[in-house]
Formats: sequence, C-alpha cells, structure tokens
Amino acid sequence: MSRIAEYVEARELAKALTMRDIRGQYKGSILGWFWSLLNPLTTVAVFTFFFAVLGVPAPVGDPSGLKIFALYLFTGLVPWNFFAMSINGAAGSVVAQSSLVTKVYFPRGIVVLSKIGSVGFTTLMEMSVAVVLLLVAGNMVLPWLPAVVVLVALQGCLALGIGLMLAVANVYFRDVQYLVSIALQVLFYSTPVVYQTSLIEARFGARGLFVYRLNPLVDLIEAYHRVLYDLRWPDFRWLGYVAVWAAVLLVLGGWLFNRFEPRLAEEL
Amino acid sequence: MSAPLSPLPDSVAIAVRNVSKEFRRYSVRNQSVKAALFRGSRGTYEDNWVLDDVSLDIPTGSTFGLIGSNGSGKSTLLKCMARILKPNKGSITVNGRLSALIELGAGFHPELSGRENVYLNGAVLGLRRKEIDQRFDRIIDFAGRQVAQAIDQPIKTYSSGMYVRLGFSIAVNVEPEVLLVDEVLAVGDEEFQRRCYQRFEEFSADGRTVVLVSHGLSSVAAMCDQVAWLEGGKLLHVGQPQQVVDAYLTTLDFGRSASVAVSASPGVRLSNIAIEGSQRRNTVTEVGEQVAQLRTGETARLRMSYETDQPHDLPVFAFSIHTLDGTLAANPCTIGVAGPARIETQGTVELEVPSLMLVPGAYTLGAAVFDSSGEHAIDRKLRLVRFEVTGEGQSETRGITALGGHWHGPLFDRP
Ligand SMILES: Nc1ncnc2c1ncn2[C@@H]1O[C@H](COP(=O)(O)OP(=O)(O)OP(=O)(O)O)[C@@H](O)[C@H]1O
Ligand SMILES: [Mg+2]
Repeated sequence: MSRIAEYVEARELAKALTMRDIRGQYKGSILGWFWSLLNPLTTVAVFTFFFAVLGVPAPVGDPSGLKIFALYLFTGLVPWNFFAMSINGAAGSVVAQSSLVTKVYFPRGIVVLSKIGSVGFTTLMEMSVAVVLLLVAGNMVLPWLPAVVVLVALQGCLALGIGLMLAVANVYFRDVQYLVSIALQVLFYSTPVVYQTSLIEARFGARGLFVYRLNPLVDLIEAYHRVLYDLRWPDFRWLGYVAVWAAVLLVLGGWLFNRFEPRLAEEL
Repeated sequence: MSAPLSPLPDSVAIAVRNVSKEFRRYSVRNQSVKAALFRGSRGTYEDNWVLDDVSLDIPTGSTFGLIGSNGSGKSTLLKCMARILKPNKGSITVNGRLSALIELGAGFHPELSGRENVYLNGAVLGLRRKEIDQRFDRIIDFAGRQVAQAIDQPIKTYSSGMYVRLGFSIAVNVEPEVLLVDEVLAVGDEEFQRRCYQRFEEFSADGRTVVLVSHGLSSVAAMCDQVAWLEGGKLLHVGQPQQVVDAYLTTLDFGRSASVAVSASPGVRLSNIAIEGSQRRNTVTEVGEQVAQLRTGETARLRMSYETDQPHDLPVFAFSIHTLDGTLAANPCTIGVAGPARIETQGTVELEVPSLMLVPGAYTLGAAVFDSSGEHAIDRKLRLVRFEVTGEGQSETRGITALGGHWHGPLFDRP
C-alpha cells in the first residue's frame, strides 16, 4: 500500500517525464505531429492498395453499412500501434532512462508508466484523426467514444503489465528489446488488424476460431472494429476474458518489477 | 527500503546503521538472452563488499565531509543515503526532504530548453509545478548571467560549467532539509564555487544539513563541521575536519612509502624528521599536537636521522615540504651537492635554510633517501611532520612562496 502512495506522490514526475518524452519526440521538426501520423497513414495506404489489387472486398460494417477498407484498417491499426509501441517503448524504458535511474531516487515504475503515457498521447492524436475520418464517412461514432475510452484503459493495463516485466528483463538481457520487436511482428498477423475474424472461422471452423481467440489481443482489436467501424457492442464474454488477462499480467508485472526494483540502479 | 526502526531524534539528520553493500563483480557477463542460453548462465561473478558495516550519525544543521581514495565507497554510501541503491545489510534513516546531486542535471534533456529543463529537473527532485514557479527567478538568478541569457536555448548548447550552475542552482533552491553533493562542484569556476560554499553556510545557518564528497581536501577541512574518512568500504575515522584530513594525508603517504621502500637495497631507515626555527617556538594545534612554529623569513633547520644495516655508497637525501592540500612547495635534495660518499650505521643530515620564504600557513615536512641514481627511494616518509608558519606584519599571505622583495619607484622610495 505504501508503494501505491509513493506512486501517487510521484505523479508530478510522471507527468513531467511524459511531457518530456512527447516534447522530445516532436521537437526538432515542425512537422513532428504530421510525421507521427504519416506512419499509420502510410500503412493504411499500402494495405488498401494491395487489397484493391488483389480484389479483396472491403468488410461491410454491421449495422453501420460502412464499406471502406482504409477505415477498417485504420480502426484496427491505431489500437495495434498503441499496443506495439507501448510494449516496445516500455521494454526499453528503464535502460533508456538509466542516467535518471542511477542518479535519483523515485519509484522506478514511473519510467514505464510515463512511456506508456506518451505513447497514449500519440494514440490520442491518431484516434482523433480516425474519428474525424469516420464522421466524414458518415459513421456516427461519437456516442461510442466512452466505450473506446474503456477499451484504451483495458489495453493500457495489459501493456503496463507486460511492459513492467519486459523492462526488468531488458536490464539483465539487453537483446530482449529485439526479441520483442520480432514477437510483435508475429503477433501482428495473428491479430485481426488487417483482416476479419470471419476469415479464420471460414478457414479453420468454430474450434479453430476458439483457439485463435485465446490470444487476448484478438478480441481487444476486434472490439475496436466493432465499436468504431460496425457501431455495435463487442462480445462482452470474450472482453471479460481479455480483462482477466490484463489483471493477471498487471499483478504479475507489478510484483516482478517491485521485486527487482531495488537492484535496477546497480545492474544498469 | 525497510521502515525506520525508531523515530530519529531531531538532532540527527541521517542515521546510518551497520550498512553493508556488495556489488557483483562479473568476470563473465552474459547480457543477452542469446549468450545466456548458449553458455547456460548469466555469467560468473564474485561478491565485492564495497561498504562494510558502516555506522554514522550526521547531525542536523552540520556540513559533513566524506573523504577517501578513489573507489573507497563514498559515492556508494551517498547513493544508499539517497535510496538510489539499497544496502544489503543495515538501514539508513533520513530526517526530512532529501535532494541529491550525484550528478548534475540528472534528467536534463539535451533537446529541451533550459527553462523546460528547470521544470523537469524540479519534478525529478520532487517539486510541484507551482513550487517551481515560485522559485524560478531565484534559480536563474543564482545560476548567473550566462545561464540566464541562454535559458531559452536547448541545454545541449550549454558549457559543462553552465550545466553545473543550473543543476546546482535547482538543487539548492529545492530547499531540501538534507543535501547530498558528490564531487560535482569542481567543474564550476572559482566565483561559482565560492558562492556555493557560501550557500552551504547559509544552509547550516538555516539548520539544513549538507553532506559533501570531495577530493578538495583543503576546502573540506575549511568548510565542514565534521569529516568522515572511508577506506576500502570501512569507516576509519570520524571527527574534526583538520584532524581527519591530516590523518588521511599521512596514511596516504605511508601507503605510498611502504610500497616504494621495498626496493632493491633495503636497510636505511629515516627517523627524527624535524624542522626548527632560530627561536625554537612550538605551538599546540587544535588536535592537541605539538608542532613547530616558524616565521616567514626566519632561519630554519631541517633535520633527519638515518640508520642502516649495510653501507650505502653515494646516497641522495631529500626533504619535501607540502601544503596541506598536497601541493609540493619545496623539495631540496643533495644531488649536485657534495654529500656523503658513503653511509654506515647511523647519522644525521641537516639542511640550513637561511630564510624560510613560505607564506603564513600550515605545511608538512617529509624526508627521503635515495640510491646513488637518485631514482629509487630506499626510504621515504612524506608529509610526516606538520609545522606552521606565521607572519605578523607580513604583506605576502597568498600563494606558497613569499618573495620578500623590495618595492621601488617614486611612490615607495621615500626616506
Ligand atoms: N554498479 C556497480 N556495479 C559494480 N561495482 C560497482 C558499481 N558501482 C560502484 N562499484 C564499485 O564500488 C567501489 C566503490 O565505488 P564508489 O563509486 O563508491 O567509489 P568512490 O569512493 O565514490 O570513488 P571516487 O573517489 O573515484 O568517486 C568501486 O570499486 C567500484 O568499482
Ligand atoms: Mg565517487
């Protein structure tokens, strides 16, 4: 409990570090904001082009009726980027901030938290663009935004739990960061970001779909598609399953981080 | 960190109780998953005790110095106090808000401006934004004109001195009850260092505590109320600054002379090293030690006795005079002087100095005997004997040497 009080005490620092990260990212180029958006937009453009060439039909939003491939991709890619970038960033965070960790005392989890915070900020930017585009395309997503907030929070917990573990592991083994990038690539294609879940069902049947859905990211990303593209409620039972994952990973990550925290400064 | 065992009395700012700290000293370190999997281990290491059962009370409102040779564990102790490192054994309790300057500008971001970095650094040191707002002008003011002019420039364009100024300025203006400073002020210029020391005095006057790690022994001796001497992770001595600093300097040299004395030709031992003025005055130091007192310009006799088991041909004798901070002030020797051709059994060597032109202050005298080449010391005792030079009415008081000249010109040549 006193640990939690310590984190509350250090919230100012968390804010400052997050701001530093955000400012540092966009300083040095006036087009910084633009560049950060260019990355997902390019990915969307590339996939849209290829699916058009291959003649893959765009998913039809049910009940929204929306039928624009680029927007389907965008609504999956924004949360995916949030996950991938926060996991990647969190894994490297303690090592990246070693000058701080070895010179000042503060609850070290702040470093991981603020990294996820700054990625969250980028996500907010991207999500705003997505919402504007969806509105332009005629999808009235505004009433669904509270649901998006809940999804982002759930995803933040998931990322934090994993990030805390990886951040510690990366102090001891510096190649963890690279392994994480590789794992994320595999995960990208086993998650319905650029394709639909129905594709899996059609190919592998109900049992295959069940196994596929054991990956908690599947229903998380799927939920974004449903809420933003289809305009309907996600599958709450499976979302509950995701929440259990998030809770378990968060507790496990927190415990592990706490355990190794006192040694971090000398191992760096 | 373990909870405080019992509340500290207000008179103690930091209580260090039986603190031990070990680091792993890796001979092989597998810092990648790949290497660890291939070799089947994370590496081999041995335990290396860097702090060994250190206990220490630092009184509230005092300026406390920490000295010791490189690698003796000073920074480690400071980091334990600052909670950056966790001791393996023992506990440390701190009374009040602590701010540590282990390295200046910890958390400075090179791309951000000085102004933004002040806020960032303030947050690192535990201040809220509003609190930094209140202190901002004071911080810039203390950092000096150069920094004030560059406050909206990115920090990466600052000189290292400007870095130090800004960092220190933030740290002292956080108004911590306890301030830990590790060796960082050395980068600042003379003027800034003076201001820092002045600031430390104000700190003490306010009842705040400063713990200072420094190799600048003369300033440690001058500024601190108490000094602790750490060697090989053990606390050797805590007490009066001059006393501890002197003890440190002396053993530093004994350590060195011991290693030098083990040379090809053993057997000469020096003793009775002394200096004496024409008036043979003595004075008692604050430590209670009897030391010779001379006057600038007085005739002085330097003396040493030797004792040898075997004859030595053409030995070279030398005296050395050091200032307390370790600067060599004079080093007269018998090279080029008609010295003894051969020494057997024992004897005395004396050097008469017609006029001892040292400015008033405290010095140490040492002596050495070398083989005929003058390169290999047979015995050497550096900074063994302390003596003082006074100079009532003496106009030359700074530097080391008094030149004792005569001023000429229309303004001076009055009858
Ligand atoms: N993170 C670390 N891992 C392993 N050994 C360490 C670590 N930090 C310090 N040491 C070792 O601990 C010992 C004490 O180091 P410390 O920095 O406390 O010395 P110091 O008294 O501050 O020296 P200096 O006067 O050079 O600053 C050294 O032998 C050093 O090699
Ligand atoms: Mg040090």
